[in-house]
Amino acid sequence: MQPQAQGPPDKELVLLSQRGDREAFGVLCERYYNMVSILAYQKIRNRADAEDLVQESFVRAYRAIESLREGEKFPGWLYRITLKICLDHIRKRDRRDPSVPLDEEVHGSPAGEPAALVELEAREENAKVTRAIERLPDKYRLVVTLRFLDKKSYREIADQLGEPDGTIANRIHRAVKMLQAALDGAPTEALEEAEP
Amino acid sequence: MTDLPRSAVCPFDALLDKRILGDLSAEDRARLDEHLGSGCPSCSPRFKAEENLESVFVRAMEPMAREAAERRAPFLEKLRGSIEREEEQRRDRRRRRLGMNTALFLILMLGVALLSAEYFAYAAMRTRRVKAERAAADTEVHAIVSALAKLASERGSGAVPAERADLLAALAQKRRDAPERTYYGVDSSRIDTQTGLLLDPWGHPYVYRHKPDGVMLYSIGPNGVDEGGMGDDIALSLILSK
Repeated sequence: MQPQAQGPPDKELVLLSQRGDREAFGVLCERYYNMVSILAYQKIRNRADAEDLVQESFVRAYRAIESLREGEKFPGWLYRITLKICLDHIRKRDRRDPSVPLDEEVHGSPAGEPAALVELEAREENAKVTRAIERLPDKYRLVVTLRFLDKKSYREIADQLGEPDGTIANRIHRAVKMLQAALDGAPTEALEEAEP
Repeated sequence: MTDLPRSAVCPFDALLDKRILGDLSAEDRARLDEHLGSGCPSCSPRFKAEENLESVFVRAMEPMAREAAERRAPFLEKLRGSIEREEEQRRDRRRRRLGMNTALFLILMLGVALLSAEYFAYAAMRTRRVKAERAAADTEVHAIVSALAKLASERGSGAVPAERADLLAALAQKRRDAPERTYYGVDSSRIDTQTGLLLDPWGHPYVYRHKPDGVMLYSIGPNGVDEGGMGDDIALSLILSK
């Protein structure tokens, strides 16, 4: 994912976008495209649909950007827009055709391990991890993705999502425990209780 | 993951907490590495479990991230087109809204103009009507007072009625100089059926009063308030010789 620190801060870009600067909004899109598209794909599990929904999320964000009061909270706001669009899509999809096929795990083997057995094992492990990630509640999946994939610290995530540091730290710990429990084959429901 | 009870964990556990949150300083990192190198039975398994989890997570997600990065350029190009279309639609909406607002404003102004014209026409008509009523009352007061003057000149001051109730009867008498005519002919539809008094154009009875030097007749005017012949009352006095 893109490091956010490069270029002007979100707040400034949001302000410019609110004044009709499409270039500034373009920078925001470039900055958060990876985050939003990965999160949409994690949720939808269908690449073509996920891409359309990400497109719709950005267009809707552009349409509503004037209503965003705190520009520094743009990523969290964008994420919520995307999540809502994804949930609406899932609801419609399930109503229309609950048996719609989802993408298979297509990702390749880890580099440097060409043997077929190793590749198969790696695929199985990836599939298991992907399923465990899918089963995470949205808010946990988001923080753990930003933490591990984007290498952001909990403070940066908290700033980005406009949430208290403690809440994000707690979510990361819980998400790690849930993932470990899921990978060990243990039930995760007990960990999904409300945050303290 | 090793789920040891909190009371049994190593003090370095706090550094592992910081590590998983991405909050470890270089100095702490060095301290933790040194501690892990000593093979702590509490920290080492936890560290390995978490490190493994992190790496399998990244391995599972990286292809997705890589693919997203590859599709990034065409996606952003397509998005730029969508944003431009959205901007165009926004301009259209703005233009339409402006057009609608202008039309609504014009309709509103037309409505206000029509209402104003209606109001001014009504006000002008009302003014004309009040003027006409005042003129009618003034004419009638003058005519009755002239008739009383004629009555007094032909029959003497004593023949002038003492009370308002007797006014119509006195005026209905035949004139001496023209016996076929009365002193004043009254339209019977303008006489109040209950009191038998003559009504002015606003439906109020005329007031008839004796004064030390004669009599006074007046209408209480359009405001309907008896102001003793002053204000908007329409009054005329007749001085009678002793």
